Amino acid sequence: MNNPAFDLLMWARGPGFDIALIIFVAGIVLRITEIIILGRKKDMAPAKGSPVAQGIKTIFSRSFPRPGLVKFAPITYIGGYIFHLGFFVAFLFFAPHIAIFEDAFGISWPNAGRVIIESATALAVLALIALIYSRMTDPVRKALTTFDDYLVLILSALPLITGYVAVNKLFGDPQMMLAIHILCVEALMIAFPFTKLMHAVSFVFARYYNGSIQGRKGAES
Amino acid sequence: MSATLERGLNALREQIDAPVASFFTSCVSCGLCAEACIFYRATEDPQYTPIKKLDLVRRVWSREFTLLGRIGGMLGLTKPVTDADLKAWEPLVYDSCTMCGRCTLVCPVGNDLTMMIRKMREGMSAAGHAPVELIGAAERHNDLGSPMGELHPALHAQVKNAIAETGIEIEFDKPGVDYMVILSAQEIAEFPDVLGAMSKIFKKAQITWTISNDAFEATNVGIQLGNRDVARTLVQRVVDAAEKLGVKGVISPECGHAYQALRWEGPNLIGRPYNFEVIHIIELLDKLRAEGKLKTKGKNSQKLTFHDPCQINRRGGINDEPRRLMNMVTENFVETDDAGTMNWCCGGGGGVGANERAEGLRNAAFKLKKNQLDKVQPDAIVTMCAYCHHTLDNVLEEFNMDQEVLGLTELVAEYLDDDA
Amino acid sequence: MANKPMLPELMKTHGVSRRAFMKYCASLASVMALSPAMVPRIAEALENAKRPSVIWLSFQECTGCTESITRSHAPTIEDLIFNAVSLDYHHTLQAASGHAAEAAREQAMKENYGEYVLVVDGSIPLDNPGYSCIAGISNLDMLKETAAGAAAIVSVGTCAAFGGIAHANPNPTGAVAVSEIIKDKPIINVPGCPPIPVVMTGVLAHFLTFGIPELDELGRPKAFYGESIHDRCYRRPFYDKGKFAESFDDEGARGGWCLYKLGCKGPTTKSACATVKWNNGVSFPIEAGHPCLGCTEPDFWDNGGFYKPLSVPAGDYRKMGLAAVAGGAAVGVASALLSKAGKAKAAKAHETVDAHDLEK
Repeated sequence: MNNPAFDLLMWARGPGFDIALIIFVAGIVLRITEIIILGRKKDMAPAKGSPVAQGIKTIFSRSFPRPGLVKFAPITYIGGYIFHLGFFVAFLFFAPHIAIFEDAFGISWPNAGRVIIESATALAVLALIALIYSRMTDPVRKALTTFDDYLVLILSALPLITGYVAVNKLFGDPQMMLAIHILCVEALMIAFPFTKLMHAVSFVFARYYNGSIQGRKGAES
Repeated sequence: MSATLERGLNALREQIDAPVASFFTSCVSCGLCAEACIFYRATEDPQYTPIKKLDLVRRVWSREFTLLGRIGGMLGLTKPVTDADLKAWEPLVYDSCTMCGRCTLVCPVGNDLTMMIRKMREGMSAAGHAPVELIGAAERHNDLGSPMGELHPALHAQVKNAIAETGIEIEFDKPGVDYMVILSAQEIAEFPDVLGAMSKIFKKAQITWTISNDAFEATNVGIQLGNRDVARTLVQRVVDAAEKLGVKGVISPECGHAYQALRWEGPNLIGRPYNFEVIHIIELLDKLRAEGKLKTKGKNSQKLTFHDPCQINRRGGINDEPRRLMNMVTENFVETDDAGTMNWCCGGGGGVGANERAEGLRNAAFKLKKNQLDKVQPDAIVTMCAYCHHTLDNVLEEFNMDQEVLGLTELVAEYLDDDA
Repeated sequence: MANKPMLPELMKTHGVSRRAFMKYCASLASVMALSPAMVPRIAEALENAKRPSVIWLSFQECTGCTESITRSHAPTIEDLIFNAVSLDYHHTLQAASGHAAEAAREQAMKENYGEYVLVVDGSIPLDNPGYSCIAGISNLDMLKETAAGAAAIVSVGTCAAFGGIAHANPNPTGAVAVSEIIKDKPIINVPGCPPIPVVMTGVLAHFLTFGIPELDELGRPKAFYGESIHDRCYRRPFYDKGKFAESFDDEGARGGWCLYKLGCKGPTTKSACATVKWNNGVSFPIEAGHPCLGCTEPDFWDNGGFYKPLSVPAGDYRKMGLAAVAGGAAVGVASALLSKAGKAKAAKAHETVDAHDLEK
């Protein structure tokens, strides 16, 4: 006799993950390779500052906005921060997730208790709701938004919501809800190389190039 | 040979490199670039969102430089860029962008949108979609030596005036001196007193200099047009003259795009480093100050504020130097909000000031600068770019504001210690 | 046989007081989450039960379920329960063997046709029925034949309920659960590897008293399989606080911390182990320091590994990942070279622009 919920869970943990992983990894490596190999011409103007050092610095410093800017787009800045921080806390500091990294790479780090994880998850979801609202109503965002943006918002929200539901057993069969959570994560993984989610990897290059171009001139970045 | 779509698209293709690819891959459509742009902020019109101005470049990159984009193109999911597209984007790229660089500094993923506008203009100009005024300026500069046409008579006249006023000799085409000075047409036409100012300062600092008849013009409309062939031709003239004269360095004057063209783009345009250094006049003055060769006496007592030209501070790296000089010769120097790296563009650069079609928009965009000035209520505004100077003069008048605009070199020269 | 003495007589003979008997009925009611008002009904039903015939068929099994049920709480009482039924056929417990045993089974079937309870443990091989035979009769045939006259079937143990260990990958015998063969009789699944003794007797007692208990979508009595181990586990506070044992016998393990990271399947396993426990409530696997295997769930042998945490992918993903890196890089390089070729072509086709060439 089979339990369809269990079968789905084992598929999600087995072939489902394999498929998602292949697309995720191959897709990212492909797109990053495409960027790097394109290369850029060597800059022959004598440097006033230090391009490499500033390039690297900008990778980190661009995470913080310049003073006085937040008030002009508060939902984007604050919602963006809360979403990213909440997502990372819920993803990277929940022990069952750390177990995945431990299994894959043999590395591990301290985990946070459930209260912190759940608060982070809830805040991240609320931030996403605010961001999707902004996308639908603010004229600048509305003009910029494409299908890609909505898809990514929803695919980012689903693992958070389904994870919360599964851990708290809010409704549904525990095996089924865990399976659905894992499938939502796999959907996110599959969409990653085809959408703006790539920014999570390519931002390192973009910020570096920005910093190196400005840094060569001794200008701020 | 005339402009064609294919020539334009080819020029665009040549411009796509790893940075461009990483920028388009990373854009998350957050719209924060709009908040930094004077044109969006002044009009609240989302069409001026900087990343939107670059959409045609994104389409070429995606369709021709990515595997997924190529597949999408083959499946008919995306359309190639057409001449009509380029035509429609011309006002966005040339009227509503001065390449001021603020968007580059606020993008959270680090996109250098300004650099991409510069690249996009390569495609636009090669395809025949640049503003007529810039084309005219390019033709004049190419044929007659300056975007304002035949400027030798005016130049020589102003030099003669300067010699008469200061009693210091200014020589043309003198080989072996320290520096060759280049000037922007705007200075020669509207602010020629800078010649006498430089004369006095250099005499005191014992710097020898000359002006080349073959290459006196600093402005490079090729940068504003966004055409590297034109830009290269104009830079080459300066380089050839400087190397023929065997000077130690070339002084880039109070002109924004001149500094970009010669100091930062030049070696890449001509394909080799120079045999001389390039230094901005304000960089040089600050250097002289540090070496004790710039002695001043007395201070200006007006309430003064400083306008940072975009191409010299934010895009050029010269931020502290003018302030040190200001502190030397003023006693009531008040900075505006957002002074320094994030200062607001006057709206004249990037070819916008010369573009008649853009006049209304440029005036509207002045709102941001006006807010800064209204808060500080200075008696006068000091700047270090002749075109900012010219733009501020005009637009302040448009808005019935009565502040004076002063050039920094002239201000410093005014307080030179004659006894030192 | 069906004419054994009634319960009251047996109790007197075995020295079990009525009080003790009522106490047992009360604990049974409590274990099945029935109201105390039900206790007299249970007592009355057990006393007056007509001692139905019970036929216990053992197929591809390890006899663990029988071992478990015979270790039930208070042997004397359980014994009574067994005496309250007429266990007419059971390989391990019956006195007879060989032809006599089979004859007993056939007679019980004939005399109680349509009324006897069929208890099954072990799975049934379908690939080749010859893999498991009793007295020359295949499991498949014996099951069908015996089920035909049963009032109800109780599939005891995960093998009979869901296929169990024989059903695990690659299932060389084609083993299946009882419910995959018999479709026309009520079946109660009592899974576990083995099931808890009192769960088995409790289900039987409920059936004798009230009939078939409320079952979940997998046919398991909700009274014993309605909640997950995770929700009733005494180590749950450690899961919530984020304190996990990382390896056996480390500080966390010795401190009694949560065993999730050692592969515990508690969150997805429904069973009564965390509340009812084993050996008269002494302990259960997690309390003894071992992660739950999930043995009341179908296909638990193939759940990715007893020591692999639920969150960890179960396949050979590391190899896939490396292959993906190599493949992605190769295709990426090819695509980038194509782009560079396109760019070189554009550079070659570059028409140097003169200031006079800027208009169309």
